[in-house]
Amino acid sequence: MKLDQQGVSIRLENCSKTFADGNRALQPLDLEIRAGETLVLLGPSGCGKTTTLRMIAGLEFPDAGGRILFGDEDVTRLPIEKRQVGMVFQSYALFPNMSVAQNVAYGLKVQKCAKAEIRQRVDEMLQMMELSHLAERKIDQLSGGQRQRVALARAIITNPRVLLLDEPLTALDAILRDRLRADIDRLLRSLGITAIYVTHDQEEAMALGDRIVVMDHGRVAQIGTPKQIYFQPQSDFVADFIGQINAFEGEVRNQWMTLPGGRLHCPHLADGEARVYCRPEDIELVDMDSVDAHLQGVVEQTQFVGDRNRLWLAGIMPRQVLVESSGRVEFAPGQRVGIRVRSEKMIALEPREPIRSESVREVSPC
Amino acid sequence: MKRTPSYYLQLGFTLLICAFMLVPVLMSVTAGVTENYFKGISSGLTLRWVQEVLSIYSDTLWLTLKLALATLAVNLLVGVPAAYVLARSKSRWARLFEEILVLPVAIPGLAIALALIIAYGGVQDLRTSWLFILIGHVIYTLPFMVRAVVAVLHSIDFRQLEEGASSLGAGFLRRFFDVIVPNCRGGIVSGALMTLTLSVGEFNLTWMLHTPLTKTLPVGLADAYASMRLEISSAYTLIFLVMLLPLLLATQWNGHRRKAQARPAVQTPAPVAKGVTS
Amino acid sequence: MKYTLSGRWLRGEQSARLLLLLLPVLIISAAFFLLPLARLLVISFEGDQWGANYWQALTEARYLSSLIDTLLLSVSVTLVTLAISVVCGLFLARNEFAGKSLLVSLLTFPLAFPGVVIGFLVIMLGGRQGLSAELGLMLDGTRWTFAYSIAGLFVGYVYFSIPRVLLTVIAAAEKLDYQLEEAARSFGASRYRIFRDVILTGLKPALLASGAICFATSMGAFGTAFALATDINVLPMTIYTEFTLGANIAMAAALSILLGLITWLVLFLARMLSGADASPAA
Repeated sequence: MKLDQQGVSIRLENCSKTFADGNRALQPLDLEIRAGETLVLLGPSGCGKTTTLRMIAGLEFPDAGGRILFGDEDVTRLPIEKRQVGMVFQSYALFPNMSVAQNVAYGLKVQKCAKAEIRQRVDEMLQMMELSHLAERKIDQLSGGQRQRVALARAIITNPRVLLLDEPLTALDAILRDRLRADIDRLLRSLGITAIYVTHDQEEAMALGDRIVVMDHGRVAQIGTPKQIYFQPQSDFVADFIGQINAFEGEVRNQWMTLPGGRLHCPHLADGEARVYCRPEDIELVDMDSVDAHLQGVVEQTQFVGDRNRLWLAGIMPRQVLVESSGRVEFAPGQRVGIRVRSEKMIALEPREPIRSESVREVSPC
Repeated sequence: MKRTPSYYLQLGFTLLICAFMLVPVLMSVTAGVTENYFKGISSGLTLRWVQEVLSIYSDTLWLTLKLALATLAVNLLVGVPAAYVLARSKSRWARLFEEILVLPVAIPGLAIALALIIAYGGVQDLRTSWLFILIGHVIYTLPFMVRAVVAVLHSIDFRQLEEGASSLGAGFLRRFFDVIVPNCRGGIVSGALMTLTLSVGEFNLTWMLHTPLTKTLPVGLADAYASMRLEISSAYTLIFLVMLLPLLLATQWNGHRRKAQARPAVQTPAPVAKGVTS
Repeated sequence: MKYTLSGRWLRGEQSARLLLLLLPVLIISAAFFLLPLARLLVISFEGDQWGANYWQALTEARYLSSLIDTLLLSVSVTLVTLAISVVCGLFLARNEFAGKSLLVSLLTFPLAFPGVVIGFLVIMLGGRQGLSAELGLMLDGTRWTFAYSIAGLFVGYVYFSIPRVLLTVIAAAEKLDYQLEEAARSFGASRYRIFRDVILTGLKPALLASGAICFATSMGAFGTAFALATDINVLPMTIYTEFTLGANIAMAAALSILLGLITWLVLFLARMLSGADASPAA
């Protein structure tokens, strides 16, 4: 099913949000969402992602000076019921007093569609979402995954200009989450609708987003495709927040960085204090007597997770270094190992900023 | 499960208390349909006393019904919206007002009635009208209605339900009637039953507020207890109990229903559930 | 993420709408409750001297004894009702047997009886033609009556209070954590100690709350005393007599204020102490 109305582009201009208690939940923000793309707002709780989503929805209004545009239309002061958005809430907000079919039909009923048309469109929608057999059920008779599908169906049946999803998978258990993530991905692609998806789960963000906006303390930390965010983080925060990462920090002289556990070859760095990052899967384990074993550490802890081993090494940096290796090789705590990091796998941050800048005031979870 | 002596001791005590609650009611009911209570049931069963009560006191019956329904109507019309506002507002003023609103529950009805008479007793048209009693009943029962609804609203995430409805384009009135009211139906029903039960049996206020022309059933009962023979008092009490009975049954049923609903929702229901709901 | 401030989008015309919804109740409360109460307060201070009525109420034997009698009566009704309800409530909450729900229904259906009817039921039990009179005739040839004294009032108030308190105790007992008792048993605590330290402690909020309601209703109840009539000198009757027979409205007002203050204060304290809701509306 294709929607009659393709999604609109959305522009936020200078949108900030200060709550009545003086909490600045969102610093002035400019953001452009292209028509038809899926944009993920990602960040820890209290980072402003949900506030941003609720502003786009019309559930919060930006502070004076902010503007929100759907296409060319200024919707800044329009309340949610006039914005033609579809929204999927974290706890779904399905109406317990209505059946599945009535929930899905509600938006059309409000729009005063003809009865026959409502019935037809609801039938189609239920069929598409594989909910037909549940049409007459009450909401409290549904499983979490079924509720989630009803919430989606209810949100998209009215052909909204944009689909807003507020952590729609958080309430589900891990296995279901994986499956529904794939379902949502397929649905968003087939609809071609503009979608904004809020999550704190970076894997979810990677899997679903055309672009990801990483947010921290009410600011945008980085905007980019999943690959850009993962491989070219622009700040310590992003590097740290997306996946797991090791930081190497020390004095570089003649392309070599001196570390407690040996030396690290950094041909791309100038002399002086520097820091580079490296993903655990990009660190190679080498034999202790190999010429490449410039860095040496002691296995402190191992964790076998099936396809791979996770090793925490001490002695290389003051903090443990996390390395991932094939699951078939045995390691024991206390064992000495050598590691190598290829310079092309390193992530260097320019310009430097202190780790997790503390200068930004802590914003309480909204 | 093994039954200890202590079990039977407790059971016996509970049965004794049950007898204490039940026996006088049964005695009263019997007396109401006995020809001559002094002589006992052997004097024969009769509906004579009931008929006599109906001929003397039937107007109290109608007034009581009228008052109860009018009180309910007022409570529904003003109490449910007020409960919604109180549940959604977080301001200190709302909390303060909630305290004031439930104050009549903590103050004896006699004091409230006295206050009403002092303030409005001089307004003859009001003083002699049944509306004066209605005012008293509303003041006394409104807190029960409001709190029953507020309690339900607090137990459901009605803000998110409302946000859900508004995201689908529903304006305020639609949200209120499509989402808020149906989802606090349990609280509204509880509050309504409470209102009816309290209004039908209200005496503390009503005795002070009534006039010879505006007697309610409990007022008539007090009258009968003071001046009529035991059989008539009993028959009158019997009529009152019959009036209460549907309310009592409805309250019990409502309690069971809500208890059943409060159980955690089934996550993966069996397919048969479809037949139950359609 | 909880939006405690999600009312924000309702600013402006929205809060006006909320006020509009609240307005009828505001008017009713102000006009028919707050204003009359204020008048009552003002009148209670009328008289030769400021506050003389209150001074009189607390010193003159007639009023003071009425106040003390009412307090004693209410306290003993509360204690006896709580004791009965704890025994029956625990028993009903912890045992399953055929007919249990019927038993609970029978014990609690008088919940809806007004005081005046309960007065009549007490007459059926302890009046001149009542059960105890018959029993007395059988046993020693005299009619045993207790209905027309403060004992009759006591029986009536206990009758009135049992359903309410019992329901609260059953609900609280069902929520008690059995593991606490099992833990206490594992330490070798005696049955008495378990009852005192675990069960009663667990029930305390419920007992405080329902006890306070029981006390407050006993203080202010009027119907039962009225039905039993004769010479029961409890505070509501004194107020009624002052108002109708004595036409001493100022004194009646002062006594009403005192009565209201006592009941409100007890409910308030219980609410503070138990942390639970000690209002009869709960």
